[in-house]
Amino acid sequence: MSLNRGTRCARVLAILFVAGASLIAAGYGLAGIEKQRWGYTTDDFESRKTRPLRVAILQPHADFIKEKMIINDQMVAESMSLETEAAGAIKSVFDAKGYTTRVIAPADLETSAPLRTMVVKANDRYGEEWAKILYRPGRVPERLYGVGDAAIRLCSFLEVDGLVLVRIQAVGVSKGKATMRAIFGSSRPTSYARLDLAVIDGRTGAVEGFFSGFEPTSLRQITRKPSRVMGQVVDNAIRGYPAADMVRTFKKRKATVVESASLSDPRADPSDPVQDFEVLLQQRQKK
Amino acid sequence: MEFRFRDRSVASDSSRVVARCLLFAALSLATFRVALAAGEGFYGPLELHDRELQLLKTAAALEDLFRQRGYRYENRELESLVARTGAKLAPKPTDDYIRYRFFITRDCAANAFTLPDGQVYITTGLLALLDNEAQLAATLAHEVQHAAGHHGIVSYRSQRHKVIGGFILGPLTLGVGDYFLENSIMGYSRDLEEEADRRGARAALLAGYDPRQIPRLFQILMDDPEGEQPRIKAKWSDHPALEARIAYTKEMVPGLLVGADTANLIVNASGYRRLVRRTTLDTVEDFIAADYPRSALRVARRLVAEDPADPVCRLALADARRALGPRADVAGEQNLTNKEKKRNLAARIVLTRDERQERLLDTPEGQHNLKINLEAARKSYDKVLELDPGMAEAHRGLGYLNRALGRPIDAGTEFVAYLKARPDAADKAVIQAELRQITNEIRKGGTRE
Repeated sequence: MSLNRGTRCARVLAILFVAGASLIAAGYGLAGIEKQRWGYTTDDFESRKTRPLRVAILQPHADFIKEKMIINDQMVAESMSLETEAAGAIKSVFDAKGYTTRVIAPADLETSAPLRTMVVKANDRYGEEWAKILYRPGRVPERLYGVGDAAIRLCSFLEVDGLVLVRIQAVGVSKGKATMRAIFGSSRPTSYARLDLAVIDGRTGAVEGFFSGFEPTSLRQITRKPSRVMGQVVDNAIRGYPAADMVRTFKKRKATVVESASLSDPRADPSDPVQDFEVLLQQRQKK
Repeated sequence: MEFRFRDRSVASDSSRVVARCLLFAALSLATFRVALAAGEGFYGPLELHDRELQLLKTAAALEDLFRQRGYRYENRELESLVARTGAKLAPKPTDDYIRYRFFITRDCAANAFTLPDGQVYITTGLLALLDNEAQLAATLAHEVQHAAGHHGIVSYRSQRHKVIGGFILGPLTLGVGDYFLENSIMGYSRDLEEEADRRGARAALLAGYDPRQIPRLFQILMDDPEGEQPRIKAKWSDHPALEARIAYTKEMVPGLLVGADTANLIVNASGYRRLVRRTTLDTVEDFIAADYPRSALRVARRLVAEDPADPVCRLALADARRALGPRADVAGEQNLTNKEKKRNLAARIVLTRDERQERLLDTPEGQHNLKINLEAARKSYDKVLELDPGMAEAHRGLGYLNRALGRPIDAGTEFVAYLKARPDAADKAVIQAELRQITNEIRKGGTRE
């Protein structure tokens, strides 16, 4: 008897638990993407204080490796097409979210020597930080990583508020290698594309946001339909990127306030720093 | 019948076993032969297999990629020198897929490399470190030999055979075979490097350059001012140890020079150094930007030694000294153990620049070094202004220096002087940002001045 009653209780409890969990999950789902902190971002980025509204998207850097049975191939020409497709896909997402964007394409670099130097320096400096961000992405909200002067100079030259720097890694496993792996029972062969996107504040050079996207795919897809693969991986990375007019305040990982703001840049500072400093100095001398 | 059948069956089994053993022995022998083969280039025409076409496709794509990403360094005079020197050293191409061309890439790391289709690259970092044209010729001659001897292709072929051998021997030897095959791949690569060194030295001499400069070239590559180049065991390295390269080139040079007109061999130190002055200044800037201040200081000191009255070189020295911050002037590469070098390298890989700086500033040595370096930098900036009072970049440097010393008013005054003298400076936005920050700090009362 008691055993029977116990079973019934357990069943009721289990049903209640499942129902509760479903309700919570549905609640989270309904809450929408805008209430989630997407990627690794600083609080100022979320509250729009340091989130750039006019961004320059530098041509992404992609590495595409074709894993073969014997020696892997570096697919340089194909990786260049991935870079172009990714830049286009990122621009589309940012445009749709209300940002003013500009893609710095290879053709722009060929026509301007100063721009070329600045872009190379910014990319080099970011390359150094990128490896460190991957190691500890959780430190991005503390503003631990930065591209420094290289980013400030470039943003000033391009007259934008910030930079978007992107790194892509794609691995396509050949049929032969996949078959061998399957036969010899090693881990399941996977082809994938991964994209890391960093948003840099043009006033300080700090990394304000870092977003990653991953897409399992195939060698055929990467080589024949790079736009589809890049579109998907970009979507996975920045689907939850806040819209340009969105101001979010988070307590831990929960959004407490979600509101829309006007599209004017809250960071605009028209004052002349030289004049400000000299006035301050005169005031101190008078004292 | 049955017996016979069984008998035949036994005979058949044993012959199969023998056949398998023979096959295994043949494969093992073939693999070991491949593994033990000495690296040797092929200097005649070499037909490519279909699977090797990807190497050429990649090389062509890399040429586009370097151009598109803006990696090439533009300096007409220097580009012309490199191309001219390279052309003197390059043999007539043996295949239609080889076309020798010489490029400079902007990179502070001292390096040069070749692609199988005859593209030869040399970095600004290496050009800045070389003493003379003969060393440049030795570098290019070495690289040209890689393309002329089809080293990229023969190395690919050898590696391919070894990997296939590894598929067979690896599981049978419980992985021990892989160790030897890996060693053999590295050994093959080292052989090809040594071959390029030896043939390159001969080619340089035939083109009229002094091969006695080659050991010095390796000595330059061996310098490690940052203390971050741990030694790798020779068997795991794809290049011979630099000490070994110095030794065998020193040994071979007297033999090469027998009968040569040594008095007329080209060295051209002064002309070369004059030509690379701008590149050397750019390299100081690049070393500082890449957080290699000791390397920057080494190069800047050389510039000042070459022209002590040049304010631009003095400015480079001052900037390099300031960039040292809490680091000691010399890492003491002679004093550091390999373990310490490895630790330094690991810190660079894992920690951010600020984290490393903070760690150093937490020590009394770091604080002491900071004071010494900033004082030395101040003297250098003062010297710059003494040589050329219009050199506003010295004010910028003094601005940063005072900021590091916690003197915001002095820093702001220097930055203002810089911005007024250079209203269109490329780094105007950076300095303006610094100035805004300083003004805010002073307003908040964060200064004791």
